[in-house]
Amino acid sequence: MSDALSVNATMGVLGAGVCIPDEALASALQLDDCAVDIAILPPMVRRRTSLATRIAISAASRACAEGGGDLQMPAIFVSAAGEMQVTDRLCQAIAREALPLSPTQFHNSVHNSASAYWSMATGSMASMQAMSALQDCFAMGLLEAMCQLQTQAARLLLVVYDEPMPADLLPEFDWQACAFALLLGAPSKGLPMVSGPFVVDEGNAGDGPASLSSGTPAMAGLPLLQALRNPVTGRHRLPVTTGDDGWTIELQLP
Amino acid sequence: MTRRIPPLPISACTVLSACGPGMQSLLDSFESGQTALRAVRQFDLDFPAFTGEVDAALIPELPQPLRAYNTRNARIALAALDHPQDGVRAAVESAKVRYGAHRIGVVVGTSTSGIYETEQAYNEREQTGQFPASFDFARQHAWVATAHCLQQALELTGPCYAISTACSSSSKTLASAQRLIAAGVCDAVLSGGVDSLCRMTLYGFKSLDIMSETACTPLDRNRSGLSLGEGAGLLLLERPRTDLDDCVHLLGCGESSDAHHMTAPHPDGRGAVLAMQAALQQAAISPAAVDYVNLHATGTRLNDLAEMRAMRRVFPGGVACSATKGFTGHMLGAAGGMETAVSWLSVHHGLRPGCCGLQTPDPEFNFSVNADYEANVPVKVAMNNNFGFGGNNTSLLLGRVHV
Repeated sequence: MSDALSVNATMGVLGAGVCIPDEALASALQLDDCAVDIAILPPMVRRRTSLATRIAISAASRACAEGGGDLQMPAIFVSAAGEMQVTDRLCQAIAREALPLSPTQFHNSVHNSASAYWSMATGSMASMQAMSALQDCFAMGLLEAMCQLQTQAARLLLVVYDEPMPADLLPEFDWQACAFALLLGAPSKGLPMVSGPFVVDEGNAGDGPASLSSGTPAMAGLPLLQALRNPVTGRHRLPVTTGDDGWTIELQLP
Repeated sequence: MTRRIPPLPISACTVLSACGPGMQSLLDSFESGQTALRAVRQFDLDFPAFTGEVDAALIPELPQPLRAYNTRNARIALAALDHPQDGVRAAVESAKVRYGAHRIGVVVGTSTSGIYETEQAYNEREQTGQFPASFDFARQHAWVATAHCLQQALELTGPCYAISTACSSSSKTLASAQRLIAAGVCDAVLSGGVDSLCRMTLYGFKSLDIMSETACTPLDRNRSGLSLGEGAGLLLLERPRTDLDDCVHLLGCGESSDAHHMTAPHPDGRGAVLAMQAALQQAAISPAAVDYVNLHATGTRLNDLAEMRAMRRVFPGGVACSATKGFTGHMLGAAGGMETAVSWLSVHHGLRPGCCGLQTPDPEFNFSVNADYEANVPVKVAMNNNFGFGGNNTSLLLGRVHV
């Protein structure tokens, strides 16, 4: 398992953004500038979108504002359960035969809802990816980002987000609304640089949710975000999963 | 720094749909020209609809240690994996011996994962106040559940994730698989998609008023909407190897967005044009070299029209094209896996499927469509298109590397 990703490339971090609407939580995590900010969405859309989409777009906007540059670029959106609050309402409506379903809720229930609203808001006609990998959302998103940067993209946006789960679905879990975004490009002197994800030690990668932890999957990005906010020059090894399967990155700070 | 992406061999390929299990079932359907769509049987709906339901025998429950993954989606996925003639499991086992379990990725597309079981769990909660004990969100409903199930069934330990971009989900898995191999992360990737029928999508498409009351007739002047289907299309993509040179190869992938509307395509199919052009560019192939295009063509008025306008732009000299959703129904998150398999069949056997249900092509198209099955035709390069909600577009090119 130790050589699972012997081929690894370095990416430059051009910008980063976070959205954690719970102010007390954001402050406990020593992260500022975490509020929902969806000014980029048209007013009609703002009212209709889910919390998941709002926090994803807030983090994405912030990372792009920090990094600057053209918004016409590929984006990778990764979420463990995506639009679960909308899906929960639709499942309840079906169980209670409260039909017909709302067409708006139906199209907002797709996993690529946040990426679609981002594409429409920015006018980006580039590839929009929507992925899921439970506790490995950040690790697999970084891997996809690394592969896109290696083969076809000069820069791209990676967004990882989760909203709280509806009651009963994962009763032992307590997911918090959390989103973060990284604007990634070629490595360059003076930029923070991250490696692609790799597995350290004999991990349990591949065991699927057998090792599923109760933590919010998107919070796997917090060690990196905190390190970027309070930079200490040098190389750092950071976990990029909330599971116990060992996905790790190396961060190099100028 | 971008690398040139080489053509990658598809060492094994299978489907499971209303047409039946395996690639032969699809071939038989194309030869007979008969639709597998029937009036809906699995569900008691309050409106008329036709669906493509999987009738092939599925194992009643999953063996340990996979039991917690027990959904119709997972059972469909495993039935496809274990189709003996198509041999996807054998090809994965062989790649595992050659490269190691950690060098093989699993990237699976789905639009609704195990929601069929989630709906039943919600029904039970309405009656009893509690979800059934067998309901396991992380292993059944989560978008990555079927990918995890396949990964564990095959005892693989490489990267594993789901892609869920509605109807383009499983085409995008081929593009991700291609990059994982081209970037040197994996030596082989099991890709494709799986979806099972559920009330959510049936009532959902009904709410958008785009469900046909009879078997869908894509591209016909009288088309009246889509029919939903279910099933799987799985493909094993590998790094180039001399002994796989005779396999059909993935030559290029193109992905784009409409940046236009959540459910309606851009009227001129501008995102579709970009996706097709990007695939051609990546493969370094001219439009004139394409011998067949499997269209996304769902049977809705707007989608088919936008796609045909896009075809006119990309292929001004025309190209043989048809749609196969009249046979299988629209398999949503599995449509890309299914239709990449159709492209594979087209190149492998030298055939072009007809357009099931097409009687009179829409005169507004200004682009000609193949209504009838053609066998023994040279197909060196085939393209397939898949377009999803949110204007999410994918176009793939399959072909031979040595002709």
